[in-house]
Amino acid sequence: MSEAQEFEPKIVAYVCNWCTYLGADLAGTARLEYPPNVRIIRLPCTGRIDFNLIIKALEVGADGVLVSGCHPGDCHYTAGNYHARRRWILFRELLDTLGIDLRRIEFTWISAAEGRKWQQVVTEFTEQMRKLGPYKELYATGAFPEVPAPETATSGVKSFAGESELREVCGKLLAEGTVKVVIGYGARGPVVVTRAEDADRLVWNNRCFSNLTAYLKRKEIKALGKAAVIVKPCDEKSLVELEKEAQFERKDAHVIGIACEGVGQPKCAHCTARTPRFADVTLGVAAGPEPQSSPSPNRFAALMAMPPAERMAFWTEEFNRCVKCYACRQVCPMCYCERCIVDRNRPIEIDPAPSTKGNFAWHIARAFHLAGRCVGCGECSRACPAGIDLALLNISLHIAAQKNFGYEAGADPKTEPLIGSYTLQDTEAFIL
Amino acid sequence: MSRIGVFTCWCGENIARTVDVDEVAKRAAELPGVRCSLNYKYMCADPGQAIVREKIVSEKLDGVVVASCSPHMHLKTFRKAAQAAGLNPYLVEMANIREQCSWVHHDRAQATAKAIEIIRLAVEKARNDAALQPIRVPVTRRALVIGGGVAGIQAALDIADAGHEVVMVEREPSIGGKMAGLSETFPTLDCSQCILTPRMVEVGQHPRIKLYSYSEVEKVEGFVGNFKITIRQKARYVDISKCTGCGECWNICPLKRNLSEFDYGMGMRPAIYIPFPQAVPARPVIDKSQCAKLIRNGCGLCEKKCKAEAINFKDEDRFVEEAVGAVVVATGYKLYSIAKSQPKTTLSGYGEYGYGKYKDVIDSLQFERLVSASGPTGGVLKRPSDGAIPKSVVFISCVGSRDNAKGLPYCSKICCMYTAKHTMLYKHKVHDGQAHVFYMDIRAGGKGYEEFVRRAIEQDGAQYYRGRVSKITQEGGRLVVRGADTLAGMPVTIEADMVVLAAAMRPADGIEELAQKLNIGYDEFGFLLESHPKLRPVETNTAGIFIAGACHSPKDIPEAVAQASAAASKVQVMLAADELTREPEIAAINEQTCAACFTCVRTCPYHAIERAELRTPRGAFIKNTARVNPGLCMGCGTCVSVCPSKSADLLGFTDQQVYAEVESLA
Amino acid sequence: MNIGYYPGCALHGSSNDYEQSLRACLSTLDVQLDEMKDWICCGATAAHSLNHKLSLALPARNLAVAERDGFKQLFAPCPLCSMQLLKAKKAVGDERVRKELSEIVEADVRGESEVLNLIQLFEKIGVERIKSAVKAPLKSITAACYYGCLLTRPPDVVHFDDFEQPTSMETLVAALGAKTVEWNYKTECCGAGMTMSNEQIVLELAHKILSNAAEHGANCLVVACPMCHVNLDMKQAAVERRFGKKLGMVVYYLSDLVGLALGLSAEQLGINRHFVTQA
Repeated sequence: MSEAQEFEPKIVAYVCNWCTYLGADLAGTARLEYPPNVRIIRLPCTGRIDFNLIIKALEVGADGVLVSGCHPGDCHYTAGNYHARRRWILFRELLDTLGIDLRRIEFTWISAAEGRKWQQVVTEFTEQMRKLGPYKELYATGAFPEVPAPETATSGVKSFAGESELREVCGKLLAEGTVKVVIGYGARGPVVVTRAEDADRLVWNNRCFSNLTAYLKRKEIKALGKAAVIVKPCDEKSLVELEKEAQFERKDAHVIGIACEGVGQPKCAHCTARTPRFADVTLGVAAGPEPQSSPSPNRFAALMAMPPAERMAFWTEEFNRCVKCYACRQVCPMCYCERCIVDRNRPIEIDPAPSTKGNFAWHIARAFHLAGRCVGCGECSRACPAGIDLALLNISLHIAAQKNFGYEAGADPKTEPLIGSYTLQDTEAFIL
Repeated sequence: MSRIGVFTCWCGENIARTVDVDEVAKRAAELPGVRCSLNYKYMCADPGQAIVREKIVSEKLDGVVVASCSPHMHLKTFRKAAQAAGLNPYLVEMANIREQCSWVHHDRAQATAKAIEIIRLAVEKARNDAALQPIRVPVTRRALVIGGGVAGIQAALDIADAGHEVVMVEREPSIGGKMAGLSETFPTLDCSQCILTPRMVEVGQHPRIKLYSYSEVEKVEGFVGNFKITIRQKARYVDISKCTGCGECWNICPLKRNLSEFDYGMGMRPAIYIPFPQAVPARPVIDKSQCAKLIRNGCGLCEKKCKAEAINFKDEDRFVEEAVGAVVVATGYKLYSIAKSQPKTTLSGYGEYGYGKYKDVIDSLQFERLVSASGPTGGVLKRPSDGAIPKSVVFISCVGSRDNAKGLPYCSKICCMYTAKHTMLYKHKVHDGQAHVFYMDIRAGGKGYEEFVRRAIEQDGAQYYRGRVSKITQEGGRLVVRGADTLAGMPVTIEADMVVLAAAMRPADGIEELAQKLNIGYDEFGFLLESHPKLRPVETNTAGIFIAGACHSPKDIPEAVAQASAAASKVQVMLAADELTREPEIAAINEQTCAACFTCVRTCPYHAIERAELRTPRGAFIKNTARVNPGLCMGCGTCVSVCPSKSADLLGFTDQQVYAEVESLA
Repeated sequence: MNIGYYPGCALHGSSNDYEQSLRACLSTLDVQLDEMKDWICCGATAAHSLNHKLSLALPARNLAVAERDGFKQLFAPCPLCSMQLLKAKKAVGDERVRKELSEIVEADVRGESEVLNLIQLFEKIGVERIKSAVKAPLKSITAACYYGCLLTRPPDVVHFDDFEQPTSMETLVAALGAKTVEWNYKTECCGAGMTMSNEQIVLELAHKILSNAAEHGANCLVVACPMCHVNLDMKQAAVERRFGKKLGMVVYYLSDLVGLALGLSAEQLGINRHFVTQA
């Protein structure tokens, strides 16, 4: 007998207690038979199903994962499944970007009265997994074509006579006690200035690429008192999202915006904002009209043009270089949790060691946590010592957010954040 | 260091026939953390529970896994047993090796292997269980009854007589439901209104029943023991506190020719009307789509005639809030719409019967009104087209029921009985009339029911044909009914003066919207879902909400009354004390690590999480945090998924537990 | 307007009067019939009682050829043909069946062309347009519209009109200035192909249909099916003999009435070729 005939797929099913679990019970009461490959993990609601559980199931060797709950409108907890559905829409796009075989993860709505549907879904899914074979391609290496490298923008900051104006403004703010600290750019990187006389350390040049809003989360800086932060128009978008998440209050900070024509980073080739929109004071004037292009689709398009196996090989190679230094996390303004999920050890849900599965899990978690929050400042890619193309992951979710929900992070302070909201029209196309 | 006891049940033959319970018990004993493992024939029975209790004490167990049926069946049973032995009930888990294993697989080796894995999963969960204490919440000792038909009336009287206040909401201008419109009821041939109206009056006068008639439930908030119901009182245009019910208004109303809803179109009523004389409350209502004053500011005669000055053309819908602890849903039924056009395309009506085309083809409720002594024809059976007394009436059963092709697959239960009743009522009124019944089967399972049907055939001469009707046409003023007599093996054609169709019973309009407001389940036909079809027929899966009557499934009056009393007794159990204990499997937030992004606050469907501050015991501010209100949280766990720092966790389904379960499958 | 045309066996053969009527009437309305090439039997008669696959393959091939030749719409004046074509169209919605039928007929069957019966064709031309083109309103006609079995059934295949109480023909006939009657045998069977194998049944059924139409005040019948026409027109004399009564009911094709209303003569429409020519 060949190995393929003896192969029994391992299937993990995360189901909600009130609909699908009862539907499976009904299949039992009605004695509807189905293959014995599925292992059910009962949760109160699909809302409880964290995306990482799906990854974990694949990590422990599942060949297929089923996720099932109440039909929209019938959630026992009214809206848990709506929230779950929104996450599933985004998560699927991320998995697709990574080259994970989407055929192995099935989402369905099965009600407590649908014993027969449970039987049908499990039977068909098991058969499909049997045909697809064991999921050996997860984290597999292999050949893949080149993904175009990020563009190097040749434009840069024109010499901005306003550097002295900047120092003057900041010096005055400190001298008058309007702010207690200025977060700005210095000769060798970001500086934190607390005395008016030190305002001369502030610069504005081609090397001012850091997103300084990342420093607002630091306890040491918060302890100093009201801060002024210097933002380029791209960095300013982070403030919009941070404000939605109660991490930043405009009245508690002074925003100094600088009109910018580029700082020589790859993201500058796709800049869409040269003038700050919400700053308390704006310095400089950008030459020319606001550019219209959108984030780099070429790299992303090239990646998505590859078949899934090649995408998987690409990412495996990228992530194999990761040493878990977490520079990407430190430099990201949206990563402000004092205790990050990787720091938790009961349970250890993401393997902290730089193993293949641990690296995948970390980057998936980071990217997904940034869904609808990442403004594309590109700092993560710049900071990564291993040169991993992290921005490419964030781009995929950015595009997913736009395509599915018309949502763009940092664009509009009045829109509800992406995660934690739902509409009744969120797409159902992939849900059985 | 865990000391888990694993108890595998045979469930008689249900599990043991397919799963090797000895092997299972043996392999379970080898799992890490398992202190003892055994199997027994009936774990849920007294001796089985005694074994569990004994082992908890003798082996000093700190966790229990019962491998048997679904937790929906017996988790509570075993938690109680553990508690009796001194073990915190939340340290008990169940492994479902019956509904999700032995009942759905036939290969012994595969089923046994799966059972062992299911148990390992449950053991991992149990090892990470924490001892939880029930949460106590106050309970509002009042109940809401939605629907004022015979089931709603029974439930309301039972609860009110037990000493609790009842709020009743009825959509129509009067309570009484479908039963108020019936002529006589089987098998006693009691006059329906005679036995119902005393009950209706009792509800109207009961000191503890607050009746909102001509009203609907607008919004439901809260949770078991603490519901806040918003009721929409629809504008009557009559102030019922001033109105004396004298009837001058509806007598003077010039617009008398509107089809009466109560008579199902068999009679007329004025634009200002009382649905029937025994209505409770006996106060009129104005139909705003027909009243000349409301449409074009004409007429106004009723206002002029009313000595009590009770007419108010400026009336508007009003919203009222009521706090209750429990809800009984008794919204009743409607008949399947037989005419060809249907709102749902899967139900396509019966155009071949000519309902809607021929005036003398009517449905069963319309027939009830025509024979009712208080009906539009005063109890004289006059056919709708020309008022003639029909000498030959054909009754057709199963119109819309038991039809997979274009109707509903289920049996509506009461039609065989009321069709027999109809033939008897017909015969009693038209002595030289002949009733013909086309049937598929006769379902007469209640007390005295079979005898009743035989009476219709043997004493009152009803002619029964076992077969269906293919077409009804009209020739020369008579209805030609073409059907089959399968016992004689021949087609049969009957020329009738009237045809009565026994249409299928369906839940009342708007049931799905109401169910979603209450957050209870319903099946594909709209019938409300009970917790368990055998053992919990009046509870729903939403704590505090009960169901009774035809909204649950087709049933007759004795069953509806019995179910209503059952629901009322469940409500009384709930309202017996001032406090309810709530399940403690709710969310908990680690306020030290919470990043205060408040995504959970936005996400929680019950608004059970609020923004708060973490302070030292002396009151010094430490940090902002999100905080769970244990009285409101329903334990869905959606907050856990959206929390970026994973500071939110769900007790009873913690991340530790769920990850342990998944990893046990490696 | 050009429209693809599938005549089927009847229209060129024994029901050639129907085709004459169609061509005369439609050309007056500026509709050109483009007969499809290489059409074969639609599988209506023997095929479907002998072999289900054959009864699908035959119309499937016709669909494939029509699509290959670029016919987006196909007018089939005989309801047996139109029903068969629609049956094949529905069947190829299932990819497995589509593949199998395509293999059998050695052509790619897509099932994308629209199939129209005569009433649908007139509706496509436009009832209002026809009404405004009426030159001689049919004041002396009181018609009983007879649909027969296959114009409206099976409902999940043909999706046309109400299958218990259809009214589409009445709407059109009324637009021509004629009166119609409400009667009870609109969709009752006429005996169809049993006219060859068991004529007595056809005579009984035709008798009921013709009598009921007369009882309800009609002075003629209107049909849109060549089979119905044979049983009600050609066999009318036999019905009269068998039941000993005079019926004298002219059976018009729907295109006859439209043509007459548009000013064409009975000869142009081939009405003189019917068996029953006057009351």
